[in-house]
Amino acid sequence: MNIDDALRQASNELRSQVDDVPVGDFEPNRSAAPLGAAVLVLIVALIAVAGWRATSQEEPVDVVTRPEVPTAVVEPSPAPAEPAPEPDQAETPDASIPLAPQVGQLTAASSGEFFVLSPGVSAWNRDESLLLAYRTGTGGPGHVVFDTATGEMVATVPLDPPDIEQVYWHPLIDETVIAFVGADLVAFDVRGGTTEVLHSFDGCESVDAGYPSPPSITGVLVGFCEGVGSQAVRFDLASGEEDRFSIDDDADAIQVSPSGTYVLTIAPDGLVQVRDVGVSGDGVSFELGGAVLTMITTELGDNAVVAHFDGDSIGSVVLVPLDGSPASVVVGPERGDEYPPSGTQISAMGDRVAFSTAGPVADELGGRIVSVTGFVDAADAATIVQTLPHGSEGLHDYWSRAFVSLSPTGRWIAYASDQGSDRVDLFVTGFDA
Amino acid sequence: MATESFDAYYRRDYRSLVGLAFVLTGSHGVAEDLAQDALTEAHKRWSKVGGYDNPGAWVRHVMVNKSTSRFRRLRSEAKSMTRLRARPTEVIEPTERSAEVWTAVRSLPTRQAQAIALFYWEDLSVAEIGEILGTSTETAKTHLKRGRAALAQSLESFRGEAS
Repeated sequence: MNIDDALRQASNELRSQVDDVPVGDFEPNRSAAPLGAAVLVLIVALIAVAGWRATSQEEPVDVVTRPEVPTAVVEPSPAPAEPAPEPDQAETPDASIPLAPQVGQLTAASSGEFFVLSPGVSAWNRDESLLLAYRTGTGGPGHVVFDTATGEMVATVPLDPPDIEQVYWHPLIDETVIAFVGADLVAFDVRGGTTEVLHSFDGCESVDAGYPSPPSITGVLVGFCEGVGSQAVRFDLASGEEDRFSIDDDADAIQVSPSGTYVLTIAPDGLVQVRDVGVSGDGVSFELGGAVLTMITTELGDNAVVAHFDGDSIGSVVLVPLDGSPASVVVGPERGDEYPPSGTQISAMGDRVAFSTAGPVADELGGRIVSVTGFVDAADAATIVQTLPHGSEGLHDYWSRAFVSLSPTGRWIAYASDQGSDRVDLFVTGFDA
Repeated sequence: MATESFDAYYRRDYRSLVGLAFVLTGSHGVAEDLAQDALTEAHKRWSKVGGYDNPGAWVRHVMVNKSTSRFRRLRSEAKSMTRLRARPTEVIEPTERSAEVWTAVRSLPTRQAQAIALFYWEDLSVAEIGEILGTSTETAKTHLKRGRAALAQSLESFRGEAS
């Protein structure tokens, strides 16, 4: 068979399968979903129309997961009332890497399946008392909020459509969720169950960052002003002031640094530009390649941390100083680390970065979440702490999502897994280096 | 000629768009997401796009461009991972041999892969491919020719048999 015939045969085979793909009703601005899920969306939307409200008594709660409010004293939390399933004994962790305690299943008492949505976005609010999750299945889809001390689901977040991505914790108000909905920035008071439009970005069709882009810890948000060429918006939650600045037409994603000092744009060809938000100009530029990037703040100033997905630096975490000095490898083969030798997803806030491995090499190691600490002196202070087994595709009999969510203090990790049951729950792990 | 309604267009072309996106990305979930994104763009502009001679070419142009963005792809992957947990099986699951072919196509330079996908999956002419890719017919033909040649080399089992 020649190439031409092989391609036609593959096309015909694909055609027969695509004919079975369901075609539901079109819903603009939503992800395609199976018909059953679309019905659930409709139900949720009707509930939202009838009156947005918190659902604090939705399910009985009998699981306690107690991440402590951060204090100066660092110690593991008490064991949960319902401990997480024991890992397979064959998955004994690498003894050379300290093992962190697993706290438990946060969502065990609630119906549906639960996920942390995006790498780089903290599911935890500022004081770590609440956790934002995404629910599918029964009661979903949509964002829901859990009390991390009791495991109680305290609210559903009334967004329409329910599966929008730009949903974050308010960095300045502990119990408030914010989201871009079209051209509006809305805020949802978790305890009060009320929603208000904080700001409307006039002239924009919508505001979108192209990739999850949480606000800075100082309250600065950025996004593209869609429908208006080459324009980005910056909004200060503290002052309520908006301003706009020019960006390249082809910018794919935009982020603000945790300090609110820098804005970073990423072009389709991988070129990253970082500039001071208060100064027009080119700032620092570097090649990103095939990587995902999260900005962090260190005692030395703002830095860009790059987690490589593929290529020669697979699994590496690279620190790119914005003063123009050379980049350094924080974790990776160049530093002598055997771990992680495989694909990496990154989640970061504060001065810690959490990443998990996925892929066949990670599976050989048991596929563990690990955390890297010590970015203040990144050249030699990085410390790896591993949690209980996580990524397990193809090796164990459970599934876990490849990326995790790290709490603001870096002491807690939440991740989605169906280990120990036939549904996906959020597991919480606590650790300290 | 009356403009086709968006809903009619959507129902007529959705599966073909998903198939094209699958060829380009290798993921059913991501393919549905890309198709949905491109259709959403068309929906917003349907008063204009619906009046084109070939609205499908416009939608494919948007979708093909979206498929090349790594960040958009990662975002789609993240979204589809959530959705797929509730989905018992993937509808699109190529046989090993077909999967090998499509994997080789995706490993080609972007424009060559797109030209191959549009020619074989969509049965489009090189002129139509050029229109979607925003290139001349000659350039589209060159992408197609080079893509075929590269595939003949990369697919071990087909080596020496390419026409």
